[in-house]
Amino acid sequence: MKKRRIIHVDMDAFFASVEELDNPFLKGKPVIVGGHQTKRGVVSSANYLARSYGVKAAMPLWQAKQLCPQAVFLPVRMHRYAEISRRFLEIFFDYTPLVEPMGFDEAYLDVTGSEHLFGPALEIGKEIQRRVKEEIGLSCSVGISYNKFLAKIASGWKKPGGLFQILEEDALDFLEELPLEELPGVGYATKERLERMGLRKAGELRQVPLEVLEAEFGKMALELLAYAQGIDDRPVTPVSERKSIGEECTFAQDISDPERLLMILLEMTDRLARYLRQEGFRAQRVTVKVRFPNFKTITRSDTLPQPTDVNDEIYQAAKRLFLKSLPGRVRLLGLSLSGLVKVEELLLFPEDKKVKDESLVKALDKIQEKYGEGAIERALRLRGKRKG
Amino acid sequence: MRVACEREILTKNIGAVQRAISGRSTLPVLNNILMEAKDEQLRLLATDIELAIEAKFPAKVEKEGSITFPGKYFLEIVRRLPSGEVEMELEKGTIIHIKSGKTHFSISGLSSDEFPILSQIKDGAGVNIKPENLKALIEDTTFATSKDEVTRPELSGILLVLYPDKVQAVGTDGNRLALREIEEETGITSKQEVLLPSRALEEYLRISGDEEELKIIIGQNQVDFIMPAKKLSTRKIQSKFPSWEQVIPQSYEATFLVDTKKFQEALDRCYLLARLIANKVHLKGEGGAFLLSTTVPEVGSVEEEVEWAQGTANIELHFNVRYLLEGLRGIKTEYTFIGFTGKERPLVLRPSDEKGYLYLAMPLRA
Repeated sequence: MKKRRIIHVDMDAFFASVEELDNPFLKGKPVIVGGHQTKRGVVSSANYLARSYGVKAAMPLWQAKQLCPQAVFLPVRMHRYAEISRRFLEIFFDYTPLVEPMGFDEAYLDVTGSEHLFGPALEIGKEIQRRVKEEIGLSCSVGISYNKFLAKIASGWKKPGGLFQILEEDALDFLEELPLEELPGVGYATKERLERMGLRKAGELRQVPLEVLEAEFGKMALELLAYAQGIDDRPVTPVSERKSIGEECTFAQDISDPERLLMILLEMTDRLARYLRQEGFRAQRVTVKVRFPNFKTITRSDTLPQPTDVNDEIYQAAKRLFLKSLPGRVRLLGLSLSGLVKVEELLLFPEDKKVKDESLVKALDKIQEKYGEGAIERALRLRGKRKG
Repeated sequence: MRVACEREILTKNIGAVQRAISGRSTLPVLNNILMEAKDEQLRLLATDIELAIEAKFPAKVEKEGSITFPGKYFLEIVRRLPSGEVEMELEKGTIIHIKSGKTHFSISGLSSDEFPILSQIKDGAGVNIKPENLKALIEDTTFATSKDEVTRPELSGILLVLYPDKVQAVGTDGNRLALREIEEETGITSKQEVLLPSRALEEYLRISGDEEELKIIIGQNQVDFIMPAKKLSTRKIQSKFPSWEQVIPQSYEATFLVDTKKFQEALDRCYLLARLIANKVHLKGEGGAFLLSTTVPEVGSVEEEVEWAQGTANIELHFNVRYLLEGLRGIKTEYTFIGFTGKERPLVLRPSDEKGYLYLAMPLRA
């Protein structure tokens, strides 16, 4: 297989930089963006001057105020960041259709097939960086490597304004000293567990036999080991292929009665199907997720003969999948519908297809807001469904 | 600062400028209104950085000065004061005393030094549009814009296309499009386009009520609407507006005339059920009338017939009934012209004289 060439672009202090761009009076001042529209009362973004006072993202605003009382505090203007985000995505699309935005300030680009047109990935990265600066007026950091994980590590290497490439032959050396929390999927809990095994760096993890890791982490062990060896096969998936809606429910107390579980599944079906109809979608694929008290989780999927928005067709498939998993006591039950197609809506500007797909994802996000807020037991989620 | 003015005038002007406060600022001074007393005038200014509204009116200035005060609070207070003269006086730099008859409030403000300095337009181009014309341009297009500012910012704005002798306004959400055109001596010499947030234009409509003159200044990133006693500044939207001219049909497969009111009422009744199924309505044209119908599983169905005043061809398509209902609002003539351009092509609505307004709605796939 041809080695992939992946670019990760990460905007530097994005929200704060947009505010500086829009408001010349902020020049030379520490700027902190936070508050409304994100989690209440935390820092969403701080410029580098504010960071020099110790202000960090996700820090409560009151704490940021203590550290840097002279900072200018600004509200989050999501629509404005989205506007700018669209502009740099347009630049990326000039080099490849394989662009996977992560939020508004990051994106992965697969330029494997673009090198013969635009030159080496490093040159493409350099040009993108220059254009983002010249055409939009913002600074970004660019990382280049042969997979997403290392491209992201590379973009973070010389922030802000960095341009850095990790070649395959250097990857292992590079990973030797890399703290394990930099691996994808390693959060606080996993980091703690790894530390208890005496592991702190990717170089150390690499030496551990798979069986030992499997005993501790199960299925995830293989993935961890692969990352530690610089292997990451996750494809760069454009937004248009990531459509799904779902709902899942963690029970306050585990439920073992299958009739009751089926009833919950039916209720979920009704809500999701109603949403599909209201918004004019149909779903092609049904996925049921069950988590047991020991946190073992299984997901089973089925593809329907044709996309549907009919409750019963969805429910029958969901029920079949659920019974196949023969659950005992259940801690969490989830249902999701993917392969969503908006079969009915015709567009005035068909050339805007790729953009329209984003708005679809956005629309789905809205039900998350509607049901998700304040509901402790239920989480409605929009998930990225990967190809293959 | 010591100043006095009529309560009614003060209330009205605070009400106008405070619309620019979005209320989601964590920077306290952005929730405030700047008040400046100078040269026998009171000047009020509020901004959320995207939009700024300024108002000026005569007042008895005994001592010049300036302060910023919490906008919504202040409005609530002033609105409830007895009518007549209101006195305002600053103490210790940031406490503002508000007196009227036997009522006395004292409210903490913030120093005006903290208020952001708004960017000024340098070398902007001036454009003339009569207030009543701008009103029509906005009202007949803003409803068609996207309410989703985040996903497609360019569709949340109205595009103004300025010519020396006319102005066009275009609003679209990607599924339908409204175009209003008005003859106007704009005073510019070559065509110019500007994309402005709907929110700013809607605020312009709210505050411009009794203003009789208007001058528009277009700058690099910002546009100012200058009225005799008020000024509204808005940033421009910088994403690219879609190539709208290409989707305006040049010819029709079939054309019809229907009674505007009857058509609108029939659609309105269909909407009662259609809203349960993504607003989908079936439209069939044959035998001298449109047959409209919607069936909602487990709920029921509706059928309507609207006779043609003119028309012959048989057509059939599905469409989003809300799109047509909203599009009809821009039609002021007794009869509505309907142009059919194909089953999966836009349906066109125009006034029967085919002047000044054009609306496109994409049908739905069957």
